Amino acid sequence: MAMAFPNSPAPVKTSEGVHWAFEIPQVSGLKGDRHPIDELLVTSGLIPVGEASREVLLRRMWHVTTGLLPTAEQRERWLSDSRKGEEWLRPASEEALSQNTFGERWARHWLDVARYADSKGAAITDGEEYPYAYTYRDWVIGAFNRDLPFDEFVHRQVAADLMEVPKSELAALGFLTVGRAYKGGQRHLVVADQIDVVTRGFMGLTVACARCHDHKSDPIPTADFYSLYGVFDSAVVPKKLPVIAEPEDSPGYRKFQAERLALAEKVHAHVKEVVPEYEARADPFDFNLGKANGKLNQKQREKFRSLIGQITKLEVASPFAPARAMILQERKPVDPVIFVRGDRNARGEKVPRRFLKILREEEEVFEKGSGRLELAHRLTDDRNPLTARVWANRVWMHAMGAPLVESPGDFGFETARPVQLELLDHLAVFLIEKKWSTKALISHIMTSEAWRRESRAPAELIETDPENQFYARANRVRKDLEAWRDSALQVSGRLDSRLGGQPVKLDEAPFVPRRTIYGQVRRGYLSSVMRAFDFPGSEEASMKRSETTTPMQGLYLMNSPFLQGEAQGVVKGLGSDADLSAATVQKIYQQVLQRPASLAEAGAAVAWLAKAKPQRTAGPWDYGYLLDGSLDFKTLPLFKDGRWCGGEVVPDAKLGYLQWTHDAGHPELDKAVALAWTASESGVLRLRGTLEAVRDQGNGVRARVMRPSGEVLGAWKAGPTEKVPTLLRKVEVKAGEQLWFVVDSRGDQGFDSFRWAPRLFDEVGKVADASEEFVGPGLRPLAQLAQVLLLSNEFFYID
Amino acid sequence: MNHHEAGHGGYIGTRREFLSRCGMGMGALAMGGLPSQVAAGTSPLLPKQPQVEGKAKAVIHLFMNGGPSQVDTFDPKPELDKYDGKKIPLDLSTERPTGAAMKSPFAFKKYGESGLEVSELFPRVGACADDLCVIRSMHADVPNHEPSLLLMNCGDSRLSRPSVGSWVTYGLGTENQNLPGFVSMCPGGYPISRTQNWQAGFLPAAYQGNYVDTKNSDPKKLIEHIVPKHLERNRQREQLDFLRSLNEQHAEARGRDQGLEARLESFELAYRMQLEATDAFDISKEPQYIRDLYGDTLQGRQMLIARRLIERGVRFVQVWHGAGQPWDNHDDLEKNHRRLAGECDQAIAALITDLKMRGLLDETLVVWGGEFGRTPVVEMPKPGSNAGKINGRDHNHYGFTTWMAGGGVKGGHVHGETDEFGFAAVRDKVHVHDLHATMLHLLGFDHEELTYRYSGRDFRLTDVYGKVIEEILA
Repeated sequence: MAMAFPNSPAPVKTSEGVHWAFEIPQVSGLKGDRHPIDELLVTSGLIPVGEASREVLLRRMWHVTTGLLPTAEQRERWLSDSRKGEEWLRPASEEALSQNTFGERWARHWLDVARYADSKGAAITDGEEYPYAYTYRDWVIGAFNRDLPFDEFVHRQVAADLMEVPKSELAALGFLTVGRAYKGGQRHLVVADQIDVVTRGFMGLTVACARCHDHKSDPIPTADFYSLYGVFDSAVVPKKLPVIAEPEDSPGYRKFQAERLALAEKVHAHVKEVVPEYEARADPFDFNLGKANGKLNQKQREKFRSLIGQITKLEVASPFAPARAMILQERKPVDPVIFVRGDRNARGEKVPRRFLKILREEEEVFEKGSGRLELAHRLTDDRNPLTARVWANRVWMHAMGAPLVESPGDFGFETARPVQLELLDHLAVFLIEKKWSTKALISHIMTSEAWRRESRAPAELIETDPENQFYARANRVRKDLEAWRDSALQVSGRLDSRLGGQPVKLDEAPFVPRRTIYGQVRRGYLSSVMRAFDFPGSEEASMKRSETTTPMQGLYLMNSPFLQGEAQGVVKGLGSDADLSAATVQKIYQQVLQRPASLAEAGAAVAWLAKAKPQRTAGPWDYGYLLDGSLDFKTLPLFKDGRWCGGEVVPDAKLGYLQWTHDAGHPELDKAVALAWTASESGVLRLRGTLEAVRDQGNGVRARVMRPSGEVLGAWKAGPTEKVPTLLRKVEVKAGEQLWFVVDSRGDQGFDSFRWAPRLFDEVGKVADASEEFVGPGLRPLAQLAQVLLLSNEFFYID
Repeated sequence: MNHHEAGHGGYIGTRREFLSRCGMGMGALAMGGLPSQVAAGTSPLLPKQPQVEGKAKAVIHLFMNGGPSQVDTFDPKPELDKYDGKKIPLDLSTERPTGAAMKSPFAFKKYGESGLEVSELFPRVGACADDLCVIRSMHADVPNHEPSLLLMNCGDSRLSRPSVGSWVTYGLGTENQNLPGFVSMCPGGYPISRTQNWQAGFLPAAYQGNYVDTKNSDPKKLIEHIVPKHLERNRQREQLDFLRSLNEQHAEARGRDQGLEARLESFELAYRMQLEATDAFDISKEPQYIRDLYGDTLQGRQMLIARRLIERGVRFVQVWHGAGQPWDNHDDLEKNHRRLAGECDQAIAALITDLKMRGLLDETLVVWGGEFGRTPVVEMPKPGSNAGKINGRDHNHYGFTTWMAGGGVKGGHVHGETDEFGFAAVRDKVHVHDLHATMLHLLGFDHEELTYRYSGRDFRLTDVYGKVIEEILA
C-alpha cells in the first residue's frame, strides 16, 4: 500500500463507465435568466459573498488580462463610468483584452506549457544557445494579441510547415523545437519530448508514460506512443533556418553579415587545412563536410564544431541578426516499430503512424506523408473531446486563480470527475461555438457574477469550503514572478513597452526595464530571481506553477539592487528627504498602491521617515576629504564604478584625483583623503592594517588616525613602494563617535596612489573592516518607504 | 486556492494559533526572533516526520567527481601486480580503447581493529577505518560522465528527475528554517552536468540544491543577496518592522489568510538568514584546534563548512571535489590521484573525527564516491581523448567503490566484491538504485513509498528498481 506521503495528492481510482474526460462535452438546456456560468456553477447550497468594489475589480481585471496595473488614466475613466454590472464589465474587459500587454501576459502562460527556453540545456560545442527561440515567443505573443483561433493556434504549432500560411507563421513550430537538446545523437529523447509536449500540453494525456510499457492507468497502449513516434521522427530541424523578416539594410546589418561570413570562412579554412582536398560548397553557410567527414579526428572535429559555435554566438549577440524561424522539415516518413521496454536496440513490432487508440476509428491511419498535419487536425476536430476542455480549464485557471480540474496536464483515468464538470463543458462548448476565440472565453468568464465576487469571506464559509471548489468567494492571488516584477517596473515609471525582440538578461545591473517575458531563459542556468520565484525549469512542459514561500524570496526583495532601483524610480522627482510631508507620502502611496494613504497610514509613514537618518552611505564608513589644515570632513560627492570620487570624470575639475575604493585611495596636494568610521558601541579597540605607497616614484604618502577634535592617535609614512604596518592599541571610542583615517601627499604632488584598508578589533574579534564593509550610497529614506510598499502584501496580492 | 499539484508543505496552523498556544502575543513577536519551527503557513521546508524513525537525520555526500580509481584506493587487487603489462582474461568494452593490466602504484595497508585495507593515498581516512562501510561492488549503467552523474544524483541516467537531496528535503523538510535545506558546494565552478546534479525536477523549486562556490573564502559572498548593501542592518530592521505593521493591517482587514501570513513571516526568516547563514559559512568562528584538524586548505574549509551546516540542521550537503571532473585521470594517474587524495585526505578524516567527537556521526550519513570508478587496465592513446601517455585509467561502470560512514551503517565493514582484477562487481552487487534505496531507508523511508504524483504517475527516486542492502545496516 502506498501511503500518500508527504502531501503528494493521492490517486483517485477509475470509476465505472466511460471516463468523464473522454465523453464529448455537452450542455443541456439553460434557462437563460442568469449568466450561464452562474446558472451552471454548483454551489452546494453555499451563499456567495457580494460583489467586490470597482477598484478591486479593475485591478483584478488588469491583472488577469495584462499582468499589470491599470494606468492612472484608465483608472480614472473606468472608476468614474457610471454603468453597472455587465454593462460596465463588458466594455472594460474588451479594452483590457485589446491591449498588446494582453499577449505578453497570456503568452507567458503558454510558454510554461511549451517548456520555452533560449538555450539547449546541454553543453553542445556548436552552440549552446537557441539564437532564434525568441521568434517563437514573439509568435505566441502575437497569436494571443490577434486572437488567433485556438484550433488554428494548435495546428500551426504542430504543422505550420505543411500548411498554407504566411512565412512568418513558421515561427510557430518553435513549440516542437525549443525543447531540451541532448549530446550525442539521443534523438529518441527529443522525439519523446515532442510527444509529451503535444499530448500533455493540448490534450492532458500522459502518452509519454507509454514509452516502455502500456500506460498503467489510462487506455494508452505502448503502440500509441510509437505511432506518434513515427510522425515526429519523420521531421528534423534543418541546419539552415529560414529568415522570416527581411532585415533592413544598415551599416550595422552589413557589418554583421561581413562578420558572419568571415566566421564561416574560418570554419572552411580549418577543414581545408586538415583535409586539403576538401572543397566548400557554393553556400558559405553549408557546413556539410561530404567526403571530408570521416577525416577529422576528435580534436579537429571539436574545433570544427566550436568554430560553428562562434557563428551562433554572433547571432545571439548581434541585434542585426535577421529573425529566423525554428522550423521542422519533413524527410522520408519513418515507419515506426515499438522499442521493447523503451530500449532502442530492442526493435519490436511495426506500428502504423496514426492517432491515439481511444480517439480514433479502429483502422484509421495517417495517410499523407508523415501524418503530422493530420495529427494537428485530429487534435481539435469534433471527435476529440479533450483539447477544448483542457484549454477551457487553463483559461479558467488563469482568470479565476484555480483550475476546475486540479491537474491541468492529466485528464486521464486517475483524475476524478470534477465537481464543476457541467460548467467546464459549457466553457469548452462556448469556446468552440465562438470559433475558438480565447478572448471571447476570457470575457465570458469575467462578466460572470462568480468572477466579480469579493475575496474576503466569513470564516464559516472558508471552513466549509477551504479549497473554494464552489466559488462562493474569489480566490486571492499572489502575483507570480512576471506580474510583480512587471508591475514594479510600471510603478517606478521605467517599464519599456516595446513588444518582442531578442532576450535580455534579468539579473545584471543596469537592469533592463523590459517585461519579464523577455528575460533570457537558460535551461539549467536560471537566473537567481527566476529560481527564487517558482519559475518553471523548462525541462519539460509545466502544467501549473508551484507557489512556494521561502526566505530566498525575501532576501531577493530586500537586498537585490533591482527592487532598490525601482524604489528609487518611484520617488524620483519627489523633492528632498529633508522636507517630508504627508503630501509626499500620499504621492508614494498613490504611485505604488494606487490609492491614497489613510490619515493613520500617512501619519505612521511620516513618523517612520522622521526617524530615518538620511544615510549617505549604507554602512558605518563614509568617504571624504579634509582641506589642508582643516578639521571639516567633506564628503566625496559621487559613487561610480565601485569608487567614491569627485565627479563623473577623474580627475575632477575641483577635486582632482581624490578617491576611495575598498582598499585604496588617492590624495591631492592640498586635500587629504579621509575615511570616517562611526562606532556603534563603546569599546577599546586595536587597529590593524598595512599602508602601501603603490608607485615607485615621488615621496610616498602619510597616514594618520585622528579624532574629529584633531587629536592624532597615530601617524605613519610610506615611501615609494614601501609597506608599513599601521598598528595601534587601546583606542577608546564611545558609541556614536567617529574615528578618521586620513592620508595626505606629504607636501609633494604626484605618484600618491596608496593602499590602506584599516581593520579594528576588540577582545572578541573584528568590529570593523574598511575593505569588507566598503559600500556605496545608502537608499534614501523616501526610497526606503517606496521599497516597503513594493514589498508589501498589498502590492503582491490581487484581492 | 488549491495547491495540491504543486505539492505544498504541511500546514501547521496559522501563526496566530501557534502564538496563542505558546502564550505569546503579537508584541513579543515583533520584538525579537521567534523559534524557527513556527515559520509558518505554506513553507515547504518545515521539518516532517519520516515513515519510521530513521537512524540518519542528515546526509553529507562527498562527491569525487570524475571517478576515482577503486583499485588505487579502497579495493586492493594483488592479482593486478602479477598481470602488470599483460592482457587480462577479461573482455569488457570500455568508453575508450584500453590495453593491458596496470598495477596500482600505491601500497595498501590494513587499518584499525577491522583490518580494513586502504591505499597509501588515504592514510588519514584509513585511520578512521573502523567507521567506514566500504561497498566494493557498486555498478552503474554506462561508462560516460553525464549519464552516470545523473544516475548517481537523480536516479535516472537520461531523464530529468529530482536529485537525491531534493527527494530527501521533500520527505523530511529541514530542521533550520534560517538556512537552506539542501546545499551543494563546489569550489571554482560547476561539475559537469552542472545544476542538473542538484535539481528539484518536478518537485517544487524550494527543494533544489543551493549552489555555493567554496572557492570564495568570504562567508558573505557565499549566498546571493545575503548582505544588505543599501541600508545599515539596524535601519533594515526598522524597515521590516514597518513592513510588518503594514502587512498586519492588510491581513487584519482581510480576515486573515494563510498565504498572507506565510509571506509576512518569510521576511523575518530572510532577515534571520542574513545573520545565521553568514555565521554558518564563517569558519573563522571555529577554534584554532578545529581549524588545524581540517587543515588550512580549500577542502578543509569546505568540509568544515559542511559540518557547521549539518550541526545547524541543514538536511543534505553535497561537497564536490572541484569544478569539471578533477578525478578523471585518463593520463598520469599516479601523479594526479596522489595530488587529489592529498588535497582531501586530511579534510575527510577530520570531518569523520569531528562529527564523531560531537556525537553527530551516528545521525549523519557520510557518503564518499564518484559517479563510477576506473579500469584496472591502462588506457591506450587516442588523439583528442588523452595525452597519449599510457599511464592512466579509463571510466569503469562495471565495478567501483563507494563508502559510507555513520548514519546507521556498520563500521569497519566491507560489502561485496569485484573480480580478481577489480574490473566488474561480481559478488553482492550493488546498483546505484540500491544505494539510493539504502540511503532512504537509513533516513526512515521505504523508497517505494516516498512518492510524488506528477504527470499522471507516482514517481519515486528509485523508479521501479532498488533494494535495500540489509547486510550493511548496523
